[in-house]
Amino acid sequence: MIGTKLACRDRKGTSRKGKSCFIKSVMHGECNGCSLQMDEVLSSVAEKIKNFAVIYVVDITEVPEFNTMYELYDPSTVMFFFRNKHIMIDLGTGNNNKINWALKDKQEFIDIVETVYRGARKGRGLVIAPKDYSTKYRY
Amino acid sequence: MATLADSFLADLDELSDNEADVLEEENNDVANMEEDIDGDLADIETLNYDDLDSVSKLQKSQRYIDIMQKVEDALEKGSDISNQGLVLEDDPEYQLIVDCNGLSVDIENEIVIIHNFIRDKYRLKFPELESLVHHPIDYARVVKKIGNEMDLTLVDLEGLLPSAIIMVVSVTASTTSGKPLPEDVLQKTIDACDRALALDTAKKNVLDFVESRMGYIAPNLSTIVGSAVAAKLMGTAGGLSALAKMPACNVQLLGAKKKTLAGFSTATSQFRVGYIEQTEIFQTTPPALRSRACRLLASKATLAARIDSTRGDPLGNAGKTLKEEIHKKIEKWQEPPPAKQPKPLPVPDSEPKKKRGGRRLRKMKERYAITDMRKLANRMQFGVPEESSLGDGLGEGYGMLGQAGSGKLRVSIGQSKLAAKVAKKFKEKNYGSSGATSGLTSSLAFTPVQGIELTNPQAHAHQLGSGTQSTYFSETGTFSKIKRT
Repeated sequence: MIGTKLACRDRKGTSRKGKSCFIKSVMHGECNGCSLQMDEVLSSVAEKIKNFAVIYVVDITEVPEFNTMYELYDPSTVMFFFRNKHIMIDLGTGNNNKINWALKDKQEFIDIVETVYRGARKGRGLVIAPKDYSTKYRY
Repeated sequence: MATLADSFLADLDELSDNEADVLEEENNDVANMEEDIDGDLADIETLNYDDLDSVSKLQKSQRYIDIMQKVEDALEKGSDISNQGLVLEDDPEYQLIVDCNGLSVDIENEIVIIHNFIRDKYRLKFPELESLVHHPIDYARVVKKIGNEMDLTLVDLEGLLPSAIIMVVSVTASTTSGKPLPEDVLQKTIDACDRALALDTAKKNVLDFVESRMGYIAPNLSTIVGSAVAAKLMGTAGGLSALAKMPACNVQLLGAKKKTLAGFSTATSQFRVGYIEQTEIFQTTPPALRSRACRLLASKATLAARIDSTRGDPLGNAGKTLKEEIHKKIEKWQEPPPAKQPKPLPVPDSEPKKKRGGRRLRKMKERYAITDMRKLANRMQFGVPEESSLGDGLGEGYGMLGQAGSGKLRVSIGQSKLAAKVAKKFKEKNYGSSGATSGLTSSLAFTPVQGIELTNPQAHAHQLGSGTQSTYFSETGTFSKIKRT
C-alpha cells in the first residue's frame, strides 16, 4: 500500500538539486500500527519541510530490488539521501543507516531531518541525531 | 432693506399668472404683519432698558417677513419641478433657497442672542440651569415650564428633557441659590422664550422647504447624505458655496451637539459627529466602523457639495458614483481577514545569523578578549626552545614570555575585566554577610592585604546611606530594613 498522501515516485527517484530526500518503505499488506503511525507523522510533516526535504514512499513488495542491498525487512523504514548519497545518522541504536521504528513526535522528526540536511550540506556522511534512541524505541 | 424687498417683489412679478391671486394674499398678509409690528413697537417704548427687542431685531426685519411668507407659500405649493429648463441663477426659487440659507444662519444667531437674554434674566432665579441644559431651545422650553416656581416637584418636565437631566435639574433646584423673579421680569423672560420658540418653528419651516427642493438644488449631495441632512448642512453652513468652501473635517462636525456630562465620565462619550450621524449610510454601518464611516461620508459629501456649487453635474451622476464608492469601501472593511496559511519551515542555514555590533557588544567582547600575556605565551621564537611550567617540555608552555629576545621589557597581567566582575561578586558574597550571620560563623576574615581582620558587622549597615540613597539600583545594597521608631 503506497501512502497517497505523500509525494510518490515509483522507485527511489533522483532527488532534486539542493534538497535531501528520504524514503520510507512500506511492507505490502502490513497495515499495522507501526507503519501507519509513521505514515501519519510523515504526512503531517511533509508540508513544513518541503523547502529542504522531499518524502518518497516505496512499497517494498512492489519494488523488491533494493531489499537485500539496504536490508529492508521491517514494517517501516526511513532512510536519508542527499544528492544521491546515503547519509548515516547516529541514533544510538547501533544501526546508523535507517530509522526502523515509528517515531511519534513530529518535532523530533523535523529535528532529525534538519540535522541530516545541515551535516550533509557540509559534506558529512554521518551526522549525530539530536536525541538518543538507544533504549527507547519500541515496535 | 427696501431695495431687497423691491427686488423680491420684482421676482414675484415674473411668476406665472395663476399665482397672481396668491401674490395678492401674500401682500395682504405682509400688510397685516406690519400692523402687528407697529403695535409691538408701541409697547417697546414702555419696556425697560435691556429688553428683548433691543437685542433681537430679526423678527421685525422686512427681509425675515418676506422670506418667511414665500417659504410658507412654497411649502403649500408643493415641489415644482417644471422649472428645470431655467438657468439656475435666474430661477426665483433658487434665489429663495439662497436667501433661506442666509436666513437660517441668522435665525440661529438670533436664537443664541435670545438665549443669552433669557439666561441673564433667569440667572437670578435658577443659575445652575444654564450649565445643565445647553441647548437654547430646550432651555427656553424649560424656563417657560418652570416659570417662577420654586418647588420643582410641581413642575412636569417630562418630554422636554431626558429623564436623567430632569433628575439632575430637580435635585439642583432644591439646593439652588436663586430667588423668585419679579413679575415684569418674569413676563419679559416668558416673552423671550416664546420668541425663541417661534424662531425655532420658523427655522424648521425654512429647513423643510429647503429639504423639499434639495434634490433640485444639490442633487449630488442629496444622493449621498439624503435631502434632510443635506438641507441641514447647507443651512448651518450658510449656503451651498459656503458649504463647498469648508474642509471636510468641518463638515463632519456641522451640527455636533455638546454633551451634558452631569458628572458622568468622558470615557464613554462618543466621537464628534454632527448631522452626518443622521444619514442612512451612517446608521446602517456596524458601530465599530462608525468613526471611519463618518470621516469617509464627510469627505465624499464635501466633494459632492463642491460639484453642486459649480453645477458640474446637474443630473446627480457624480453623487451616485460617490455613493457606490462609499458602499464598496464599507463592504471591504467588513470582510474577514484572509485565512492564515501554514508556513513551511525555511531551509536550515540559509538565513545568516544577525550579527549585532556597537559599543555594548564591543565592551562585552573585551571581557573575553585575549590578553597580551596570553598572546606572547601562544607564540614561539624560531629556533629557541620555550620554557614550560613543569620543566623539560612537560606542562604548559610559556612561549615568548620571559625570553630574552621577546622585545617586551615587562609584561604585566593587565586589568582583566572578567576578573574584575568576578572579584566584585566574590567580595559581596564574603564581606556582605556580616549583617545576618548564624552562630557558627566567625567574624574573622582573611583578607589578602591585612591578613586576618575582624569585620565590623555595623559597617555595612551604614553603607546604604541611611536610607537617603537609592537602594534600587545600588550594586552592593540588598534588602534594607527600616525600623519603626
